[in-house]
Amino acid sequence: MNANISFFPVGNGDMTLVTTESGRRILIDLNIRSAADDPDDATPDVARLLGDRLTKDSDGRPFVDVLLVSHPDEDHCRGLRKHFHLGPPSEWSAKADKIFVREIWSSPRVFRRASKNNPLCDDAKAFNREAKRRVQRFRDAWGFVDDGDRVLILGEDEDGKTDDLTGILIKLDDEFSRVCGSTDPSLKARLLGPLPQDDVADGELLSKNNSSTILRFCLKGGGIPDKCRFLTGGDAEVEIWQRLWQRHKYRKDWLSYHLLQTPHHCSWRSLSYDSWSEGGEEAEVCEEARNALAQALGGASIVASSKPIKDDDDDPPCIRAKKEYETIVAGVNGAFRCVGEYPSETAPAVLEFEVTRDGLRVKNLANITPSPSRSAVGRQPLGHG
Amino acid sequence: MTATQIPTAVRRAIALLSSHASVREVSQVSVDPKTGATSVHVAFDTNLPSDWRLEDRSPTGVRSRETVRFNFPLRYPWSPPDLSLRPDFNRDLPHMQPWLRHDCPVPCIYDGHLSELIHHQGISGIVQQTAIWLQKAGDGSLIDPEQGWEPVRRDSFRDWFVADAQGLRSVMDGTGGYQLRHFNYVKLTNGKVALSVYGHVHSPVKSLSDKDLPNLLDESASRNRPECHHGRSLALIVWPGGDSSGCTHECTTYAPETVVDLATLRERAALYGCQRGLDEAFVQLRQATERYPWLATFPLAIVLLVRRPFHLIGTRSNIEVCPYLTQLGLLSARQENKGLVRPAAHLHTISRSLLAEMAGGRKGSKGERWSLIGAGSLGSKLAIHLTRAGAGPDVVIDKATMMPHNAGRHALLPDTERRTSWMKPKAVALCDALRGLDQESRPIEEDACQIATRQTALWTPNSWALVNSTASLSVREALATSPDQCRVIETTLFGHGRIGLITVEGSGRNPSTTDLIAEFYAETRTDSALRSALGIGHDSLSRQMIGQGCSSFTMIMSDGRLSLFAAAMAEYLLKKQRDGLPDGGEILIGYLSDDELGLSWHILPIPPVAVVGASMADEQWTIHVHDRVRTRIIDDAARCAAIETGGVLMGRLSEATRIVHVVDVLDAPTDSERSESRFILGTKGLCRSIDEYCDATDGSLYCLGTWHTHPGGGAPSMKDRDTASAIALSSLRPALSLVYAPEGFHAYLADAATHTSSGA
Repeated sequence: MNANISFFPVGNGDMTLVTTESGRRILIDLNIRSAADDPDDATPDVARLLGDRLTKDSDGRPFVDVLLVSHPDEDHCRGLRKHFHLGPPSEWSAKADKIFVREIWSSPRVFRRASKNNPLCDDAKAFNREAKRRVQRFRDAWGFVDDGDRVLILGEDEDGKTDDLTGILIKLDDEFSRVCGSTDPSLKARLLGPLPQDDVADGELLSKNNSSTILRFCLKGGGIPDKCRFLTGGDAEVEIWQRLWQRHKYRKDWLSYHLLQTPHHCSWRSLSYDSWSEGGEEAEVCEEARNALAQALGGASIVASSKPIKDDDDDPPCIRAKKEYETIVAGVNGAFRCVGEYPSETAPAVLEFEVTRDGLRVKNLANITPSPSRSAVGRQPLGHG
Repeated sequence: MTATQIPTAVRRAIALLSSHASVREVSQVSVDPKTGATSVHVAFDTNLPSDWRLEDRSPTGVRSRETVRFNFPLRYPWSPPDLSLRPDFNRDLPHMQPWLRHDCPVPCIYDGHLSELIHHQGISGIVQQTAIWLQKAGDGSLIDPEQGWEPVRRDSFRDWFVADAQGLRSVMDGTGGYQLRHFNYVKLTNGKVALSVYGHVHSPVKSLSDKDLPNLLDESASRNRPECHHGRSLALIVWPGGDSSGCTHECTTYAPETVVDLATLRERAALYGCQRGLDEAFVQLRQATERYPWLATFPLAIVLLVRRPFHLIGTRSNIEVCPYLTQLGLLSARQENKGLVRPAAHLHTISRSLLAEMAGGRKGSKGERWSLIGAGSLGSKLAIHLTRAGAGPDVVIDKATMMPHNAGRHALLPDTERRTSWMKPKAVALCDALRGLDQESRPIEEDACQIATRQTALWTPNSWALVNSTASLSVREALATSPDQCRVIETTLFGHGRIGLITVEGSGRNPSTTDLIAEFYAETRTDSALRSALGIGHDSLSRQMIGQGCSSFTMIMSDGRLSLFAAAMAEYLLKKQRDGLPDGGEILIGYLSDDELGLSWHILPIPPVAVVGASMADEQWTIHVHDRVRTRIIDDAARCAAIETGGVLMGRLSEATRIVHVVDVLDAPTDSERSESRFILGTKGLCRSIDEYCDATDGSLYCLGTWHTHPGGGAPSMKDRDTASAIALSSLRPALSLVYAPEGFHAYLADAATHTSSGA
């Protein structure tokens, strides 16, 4: 089986499923809007689209190996309580038939309470509770936990709340292949963010966006290692990318990619300190942030997980950011794609990439069938005479 | 040109083209003022993987963005657009058309006609197929193992060879070699040059000494067309041996045709692993022909058999047939490999295997051996349907001769010029037609009844089945008593083609063909639709005038209706040949729908009958106790335990076969008396019950006698025999007394004059 990476059409939000060559499924964020559950609403039914890509375990539970919520904003965790099982594995119910999460990957921010400076939606609170339940379970069981109770903490907590969690802690800049307690030989992931508090300029609590988990995956394709590097960074903004460039400019290879998910739904705020709506074309790009996001390898693709990008003042998605990304991929004969426009704005579908032995490509690009209602003659069966 | 001159349908198509996910740009829209055709350049994203995108080129030479010219003819959308690629697109790829359009290669994007695809899926289908083609071209995966290996692309043909590909492939062995075959041809010439040769590759040549050669070859010009020559020559078949590693040579390289002379033919043979066989054959042919310079212009057909890694498109074989044409004289050493060679096209000959394959038969399946009795309208249609599936009969039996009125429904057609040839024996005429489908059937012009009752049957031993399509009562009866162990399948139509019947004997011929027809009659009693369709009470056969003073006893119905049933029956036979016959017997009743357009079939499994012997005077009879009766009697006996019980037997008997078919039982009348020592059948309502039963089956099933139990064991008593004789006297036909005892059935058969008994 080829590894693949699927971007679900969730408007301005993220929902990305990485399936490794060994078959592990890692879901990064979710944004299952209630309209998507309404059959009369044109919003794509992403819960069904996700379900189609999952299998069931021996207990009949649809499952993901990993759920990572990059940061606790609603457009990255919406629908969690409705569609995912939270709580001890023994409480999973066949009647509810929710998706079982074998392992959670979480930033240490879950240890921060909701507050005026850290407002959280109900799904985000539920994610925090579930992550903390699993951490406690890890402590109580002396580390002997099974699927459904597993958790990895991506990054150290500055207040020392992760000091006793070395068994489930991934430190900044570390590369790991561990999925559900075992090594996946078809995957490597390097933790590039969130950056520590003292690395950012203002010394305040990091905004939710800037506390986004940033990972660079290396996936096997056709049995060959490193055929696809995938960089994803939630909603991290310009200062984070600038800092990343400063940290890694002498090892740019860490930031290189065949596939980049544009931060913050193709927001101008990830590339510039200036406002797009106010500055327009005068707004300046932060070269260092841009450099961090411009390490495209040959034939690379950049994907904006956003609604269709219009030539207007909106941000995100921002037309100026799109142009910047198009310039980046043009240099490597790559392609920029917007999930909300694929294959068409009126009927967006899952934008799926596959990792072959010759690298990354859109899966089934040629096979995308236009809706019969859009064809002049529709379709009709063939007979025999 | 302005957009207003672009036809509306083309503008709509351009909009759809632009909307496809793979299409990056649509440009250079122009209308040809002479033809009215609209040309559009469509840039496709070929979806190259990232490794190849940087160099903008796949290993097969496909770029990340390829422009395809869509040329919409004036007749669009009646006719599809022509597609062409950039002029320097790699033509060495498979699925490329053998022609150029404006010097540009043309992709073969669809396994069929674009003119059909345009009506099937519209322009969207064509765009999608183009996008898929381009992506596969980039990957080098245009040859899809699922679809099959693409045969070598050849740009033009002037010569056509007909050959049984399976027959050719069957000569191949693992060591490589060659074989010479007879080659009959028609040649069109322009003076000395052969413009075109059409030939059939036939059987192997037994020997090729220089003495034999002149006898194997001849040619003569057609009397009316001097440019047309008919002749006989040779075909050379060459196949690959092992390679240097000892493995069988398999050619995994796709390369379009390049052969133009003997030198390039040798190169090609080397690629296919056929070089050694080709060289050896050339040496032998050169030696044989050098004494006869006048043979130099005779055509030589050459067929290279190429082993591919998987099956070829549209076949189940991985052996590709690559035919060429040259002349015998060109093999001489003086030509130094410069002798011209032309690639030729291969056409399948009509063969049993080709027909079987076309009908979806299994690879290598030779079909079952079976015999057909009855070459009339139904039989001829069954035979032709099955023969067209490569499963023709071994033997066709019919004593009748074709008559003009047979043309109304018989599968064969009369000759337009010499209609007297129609008046042939039916079996002979049918077998002649089947021979044209490469299947040999033996005609027997004899009465099937005579054959069936012989100790040694004429049909092939171990036949799969005898199919009786005569609808003849006497043939059915004769087959029932035939000593042959071959199972009989009967196909019949009833009620002016409103009902079709298939009966299939069980293994060991139990139930037999007459048991099954008796079961069918029993079905009419309970199935009112069947009874109505059969027109019970009305004779559906009528005497049809076929000439002055002549008439034929036949059933009036259209050829179409007969074919409706014949097709279904043939499908059943084919299916059972492939899947095997059921263990037990089977009845299939086909009902014509109310709108008279369709059929629905009911299948009734029929268990074996219990066979009890009986003798009556000097005649040996057998009693066939059908399962329905056996079960009922055993249940009643068990219910009554030590008390004797009984009832009335219904069914039919045949004096010809001396078989009594006990098909059903009627309850004993309410005034019957049961005790431990005797059972006395009452009479209350009995006659009425029997008459109603008889009427419901149109008299095909009637009262045969009585049954009762002997809980203490023992054959029919004297009292039982007297009762049977009394019934026989009153009905003027043999009467049966059937006794069920713990040890089994006993039967006593009596008529007015005789008293006999037996047991089982």
